Amino acid sequence: MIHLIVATQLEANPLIKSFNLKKNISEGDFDFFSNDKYSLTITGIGKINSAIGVTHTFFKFKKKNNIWINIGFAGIDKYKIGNLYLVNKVTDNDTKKSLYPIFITDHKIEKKNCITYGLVNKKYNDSLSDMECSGFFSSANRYSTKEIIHSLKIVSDNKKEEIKLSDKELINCIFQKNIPKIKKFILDIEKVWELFFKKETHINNKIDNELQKFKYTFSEGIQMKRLLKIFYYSPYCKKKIINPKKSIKVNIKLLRELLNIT
Amino acid sequence: MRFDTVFIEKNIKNNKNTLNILDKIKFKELIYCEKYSEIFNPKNQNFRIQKINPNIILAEKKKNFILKTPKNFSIGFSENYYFSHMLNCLYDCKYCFLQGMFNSANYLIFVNYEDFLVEIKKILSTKKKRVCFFSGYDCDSLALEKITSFLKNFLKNFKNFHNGFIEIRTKSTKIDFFKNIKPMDNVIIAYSLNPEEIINKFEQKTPSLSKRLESLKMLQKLGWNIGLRFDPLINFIKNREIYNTFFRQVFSKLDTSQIHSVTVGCFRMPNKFLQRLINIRPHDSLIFSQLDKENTSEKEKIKKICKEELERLIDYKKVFFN
Repeated sequence: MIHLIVATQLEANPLIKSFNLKKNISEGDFDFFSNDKYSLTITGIGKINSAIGVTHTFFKFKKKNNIWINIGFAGIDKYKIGNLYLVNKVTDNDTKKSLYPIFITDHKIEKKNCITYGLVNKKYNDSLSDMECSGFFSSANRYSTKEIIHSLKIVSDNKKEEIKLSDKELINCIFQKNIPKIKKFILDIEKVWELFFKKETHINNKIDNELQKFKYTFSEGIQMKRLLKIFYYSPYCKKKIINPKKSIKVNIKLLRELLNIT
Repeated sequence: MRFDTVFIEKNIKNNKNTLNILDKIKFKELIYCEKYSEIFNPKNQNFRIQKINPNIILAEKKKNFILKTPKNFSIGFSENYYFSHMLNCLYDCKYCFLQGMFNSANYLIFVNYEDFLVEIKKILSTKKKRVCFFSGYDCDSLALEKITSFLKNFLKNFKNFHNGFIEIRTKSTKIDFFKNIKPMDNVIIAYSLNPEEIINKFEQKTPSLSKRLESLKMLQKLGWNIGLRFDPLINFIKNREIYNTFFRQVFSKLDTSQIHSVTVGCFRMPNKFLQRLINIRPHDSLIFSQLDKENTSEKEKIKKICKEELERLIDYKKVFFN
């Protein structure tokens, strides 16, 4: 699952259209859109809202190591309105703490650092200036690994000009111009996910299903989970060895014998 | 060598070793950070994913430059220390404990090389006995020498430490550096060796056994002290025949009288690291779970078998079990 986190409805609209997302029944204060592959959460402006939005989304799906992408506007001193940047360093202006997204491939999108402000900042410099990024990263990194958490920023303001938020047509146009690059970027991240987490996610689901068939203590649960994981990754994975009619103890013994693990 | 990103601690951006490294590598981006730990230490990053394309971090080590080795870790010296000017490795050995120990696979280089020497000097000034320092505990000492120039800087000073010895442990066959300097009596270049079958299965991205043996032979010819490190032995009992052939092959290629030391070690790893390793390399989880099986009595058995084999091939006083 790919989770898109955006601050406002204006930023969300072109994405909702482009990714063909459907509105879900509102839960809590967040507007939420999804299809079978993507979710989009409108969190509201600010790092705390963004962090809560990520957590809200995580607990809706409860799956670790999904892809998290923050997409939104940012200001910067002299770069052209509509330019798309990938964030390579996020500094929280209040705490001065920095976080560093990790890139595995060259995404052909220019990278910039981003400073997240607690209040509206119009004193632009060479860094991107936003109000969500640090909250988004801190929160998403609790639920997923750094390599598949990223933020894409589109320049909305610079020292000379800014987008009028009432100009929906212009906002849509700016987003549409960048959608192919955004989609290509997400595809690249998806490839990393597939390489490292697709099979794992599938196996974890299988393990959860198997465990539901048994009654077990905490310690038995841990042992069984560990053995099932080794089993499903082993060459014996096609063997029908799990027997729900027998106790978990017996099944643990059977797995240990098969895998030759003490 | 090419890197996507170089991270540099702000306080060492003008350090001469930093500038020297930057001169030798190609990179797309340079990002300054306050402390390397901001990038290297955070949890919830994936060692295996990062191993696809590691970045480089240049930092300053502030403390714990030189540490005592575990009690029985020795190659014949009564006092033993280890140090690492770098964390992480170019190679990708399946059994490597670094992937269980570190959250990040990025190469972290401590550029204040001189401070390692200062600490070594301090230790040596208080000792009358000969002291051995092991380099390459948390990295491969030689593999990135072309970039770091650590040994170049370090050894020209270390040669003056008469009661100090250094073991440079490696799997790298990039030995040009040693061809260009005069051999030093207090330096032991030690190669980690395993049978080709084990290398193919477990030691990804490393030079083949034959290439490592060629390097050892060349180093011996040049007059350097060499060491052989049969460590870790992988499933030794099961692979006994393979190891016997391998031992004979290794010693037949080298002048055994000119080997400084031989060490033998079973696969060993703290359980916590092993669990992490199983988590990040799930495809190999069965192999690792079975590797963990050698208990103390089995290790004694392995020691006995190795002794029988090795005493036929080399002066057994030179053999140490770690």
